[in-house]
Amino acid sequence: MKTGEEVNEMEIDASKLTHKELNDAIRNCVLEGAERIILRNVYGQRYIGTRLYSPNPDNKVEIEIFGTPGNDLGAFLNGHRIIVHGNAQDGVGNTMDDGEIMVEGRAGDIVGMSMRGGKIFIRDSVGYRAAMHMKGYSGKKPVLVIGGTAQDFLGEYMAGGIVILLGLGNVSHKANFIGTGMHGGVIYIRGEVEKYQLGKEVGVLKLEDKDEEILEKYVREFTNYFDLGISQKEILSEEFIKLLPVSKRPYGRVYAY
Amino acid sequence: MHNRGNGKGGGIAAVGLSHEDLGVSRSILKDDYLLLIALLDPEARSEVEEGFITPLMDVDKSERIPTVSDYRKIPGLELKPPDVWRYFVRVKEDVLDRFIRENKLADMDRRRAEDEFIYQNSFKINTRFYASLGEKRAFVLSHGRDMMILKIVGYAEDIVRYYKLENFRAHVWIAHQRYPTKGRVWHPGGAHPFMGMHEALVHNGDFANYHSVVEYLEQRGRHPLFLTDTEVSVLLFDLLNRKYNYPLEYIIEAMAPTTELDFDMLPPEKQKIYRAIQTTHIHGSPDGP
Amino acid sequence: MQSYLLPEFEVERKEEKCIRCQVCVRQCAFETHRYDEELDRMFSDVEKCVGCQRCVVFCPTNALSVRPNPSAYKLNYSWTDERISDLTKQAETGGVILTGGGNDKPYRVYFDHLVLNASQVTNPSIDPLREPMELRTFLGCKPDTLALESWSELGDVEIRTAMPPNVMIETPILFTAMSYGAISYQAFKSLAIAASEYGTLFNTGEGGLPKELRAKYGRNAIVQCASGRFGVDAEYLNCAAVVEIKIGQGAKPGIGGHLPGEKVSCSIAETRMIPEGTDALSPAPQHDIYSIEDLSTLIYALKEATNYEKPVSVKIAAVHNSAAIASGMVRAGADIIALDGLRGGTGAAPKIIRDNVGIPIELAIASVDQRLREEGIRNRCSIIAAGGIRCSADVIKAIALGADAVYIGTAALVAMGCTLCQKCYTGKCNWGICTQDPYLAKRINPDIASRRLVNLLRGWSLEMKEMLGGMGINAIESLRGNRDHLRGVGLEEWELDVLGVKGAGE
Repeated sequence: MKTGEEVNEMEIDASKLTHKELNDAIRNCVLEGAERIILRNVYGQRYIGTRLYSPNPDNKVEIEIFGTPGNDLGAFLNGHRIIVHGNAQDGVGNTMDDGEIMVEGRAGDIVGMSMRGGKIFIRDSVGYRAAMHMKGYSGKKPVLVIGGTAQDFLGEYMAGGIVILLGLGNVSHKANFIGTGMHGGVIYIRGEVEKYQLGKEVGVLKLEDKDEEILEKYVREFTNYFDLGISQKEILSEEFIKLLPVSKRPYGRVYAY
Repeated sequence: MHNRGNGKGGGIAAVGLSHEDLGVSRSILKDDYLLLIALLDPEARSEVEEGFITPLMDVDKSERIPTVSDYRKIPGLELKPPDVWRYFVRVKEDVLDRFIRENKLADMDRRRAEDEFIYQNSFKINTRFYASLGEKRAFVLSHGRDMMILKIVGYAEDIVRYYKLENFRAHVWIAHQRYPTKGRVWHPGGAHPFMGMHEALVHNGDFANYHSVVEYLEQRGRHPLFLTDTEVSVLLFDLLNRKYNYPLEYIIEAMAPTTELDFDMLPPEKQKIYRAIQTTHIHGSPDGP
Repeated sequence: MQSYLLPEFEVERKEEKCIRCQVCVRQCAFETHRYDEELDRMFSDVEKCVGCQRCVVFCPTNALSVRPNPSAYKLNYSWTDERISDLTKQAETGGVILTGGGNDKPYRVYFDHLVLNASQVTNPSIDPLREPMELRTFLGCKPDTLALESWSELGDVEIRTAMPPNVMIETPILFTAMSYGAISYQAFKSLAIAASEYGTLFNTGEGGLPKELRAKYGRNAIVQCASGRFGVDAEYLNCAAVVEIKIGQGAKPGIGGHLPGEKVSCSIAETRMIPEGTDALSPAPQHDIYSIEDLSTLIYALKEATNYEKPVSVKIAAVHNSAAIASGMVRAGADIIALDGLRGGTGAAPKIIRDNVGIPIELAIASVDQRLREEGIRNRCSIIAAGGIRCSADVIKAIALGADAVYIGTAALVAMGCTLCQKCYTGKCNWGICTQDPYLAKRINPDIASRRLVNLLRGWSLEMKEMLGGMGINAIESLRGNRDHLRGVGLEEWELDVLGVKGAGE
């Protein structure tokens, strides 16, 4: 990671800007060569990071947000890095392709919906339908790590990628329909989950060595990013369960051919 | 030109009038609106005046346009032309102030706001005494400054005879013989010219897209009352001119878009503007052969 | 279990003409025909025949004919043959009956009850072969007016209004959404080539746009962002002419879909951005859209992702309150509204849905157009009508009812060889269109199929110019919503009311 001295850093006061004005300003910063952009006084402006598509894969920036970004933070994100010092709303990383989003707080519904690459780390809990229809293909493997817990329909229709639910801070998992319609990817959950909470398309499996590796890697990153007061080791010392889809074709028998 | 019509509608317009012929001062002719109202029912006059003229406007002069005593003296004139009253008027100051306030027109030039008042007032008269009635009673022939329109069921030249205009002076005249296939063929309201604000328009032929142009206008708050293509043309002109403030070149482009062939030969900067005009107004652009 | 199903078709082979060349065997993926070497004879398993006529067309000696099976149940207007065979099929499988193609039930086709006007005497007709006729159409939001600022005495002006993006097409006919996955790569590419050659657009459907086609055909593509978000990334959105949010489809309003895993080949997986061999599930709703406010959120997310440079279309199935929905869509920021009617096609849909849900496109166009006009926002969007556009007269009538342009799907497939056997969902399309089997798919040669498509566009466009010329209209955009050029024949008063047309003779 580059430090403040080396990088071309720009700052925007978002307090009086509409989402379009703010995103215009961010785009202009990037066109002027900014490598890091600090956004202050963000009050619910949507689509931060969305308008930064560049065909050049090296053209990446880091956006640091102070305040509360609005819906669809990093929607269609194309390989940038977004850090939120605060909570996020719905649609974090919606259909994102690549990049990283870190939220030092909680996030709303459909976190990581349809994402197919990159990483989202949420320090606290998230709302409904997180990781909904997350995908992965030819080497792309999206990762969503949630520090707290999630609401119903976590991983619905999931087709690829990795979801890790850490259950930190003594939360109990209340979600139902976890992994309903899931037909790809994997969900790891730390903490108690009853059978009735799971969708009928998933099965519970014990962790294998490669699962341990995955957890070790991402939990380490997670504990490095956030000041949690709990170490990687402590987190990993508790048991995780692994959810996998029973079939790649859950609905094969519904139709009369 | 007589042969172009069938005697079911004739009209004239004159611009640049003589203040002496009209018996007013030069400045009144220049500054006042010349309101011409056709009374199909002479009884309607007091209602029109009390409802729409005297309480709202300062009338500098009003009179009935003189006519021959009996229309039957003019060979070929089968229907009695309307009694026409003309009024030289300005909108009362306090009335105009209120109008500007209520319609949030403070940013508009005061004269243009007065134009708009006159325009809306005529629309109200035409709705109340013409369009909303089975039996028509009165309508506004013209309301521009230093101009007038007269129209009848008959031939245009009969207007000159009936209203005794043989010696009436004006700088520019247009006359129109109608051969109607659309609108109120039996009624002077359907004859040309049609008024804009300070414009008079005549036109021959049909629009192939009359219906969609009417709908275009209605979406923009302009409601045709006389059921003819010509009326919608002048309403379009007025919309582009007074409401949208387009320079004449672009009014023409909006109303008669450059064809694809010619368009491709324009310089790029013209193409850009013409393209924007066409894209924006194509559905309100009269079409036909 | 012994099947009680009656064969749908009968295959007749004229033995004296048959030369045992076995072309029919090779052409039929349903394995209807077989050759018995010992007997040196051809046999046909008629219960496998789907009536696609491929073998008939390709038989070198014209020895074959395929026709409806004359065997039938006792005539019954309530319990038709189709009802009985559907019941039988369900009793034998316990599943949802799938079908392909569009609704084939005898709902009234309003296009067939509308007649066009022509100029006689009062207005001359135009000769389209020798005089300019314009079919160019602009899709996108049009501002109410432009703020023009003069900057010289010569009348030079500058436009102060930000012009919303508009896309120009040479003819108001676009290829509707048919995804790579639903149709073969070859068929998909044929549509792309034809659209780019003719200067119109094709729609990728929800299955993504293969990377190698983006640079060349992106500018003629409408790319879809649907509930499955397959193949949606920033490059996909930015390479296209138009971005379309798919809410619904005429053939199956309100339900999702899925591409079975066995069709998800390596290339399809790559294009859809999902793992190979998994079912590609399209959820019924877009899970980030639970209300009209959320639609607006997604519309602006897509505008943001494309730097406000592309019109955003929203496609819905025509349903009961389309007019109110459409008004909401325009206010939510949609630049184009695509309406897909009751007769819209599909590669696979539950038959019960296809045949019973939605409203005819003609009524939807008229009511949506009227509603938007009443609200004074018609200029803020273009309307694309889809679902059962069969010929150029349907295009003209759809536009006169209020559409700006039309999508064609089935008509384009027929141009490529489709015979409407409705077995698209089996993946065994003998014409190489609706299949991922490489052996079948290579039957479509994109160079030839695209020529057939371009011919179709050309033929229709010429016919449309003839019809416009007859009405005395120079430019297709003057026909839009020009209901005065339509009259109804054999319609009830309520139908005329909804369509906004008068009866013939009125």
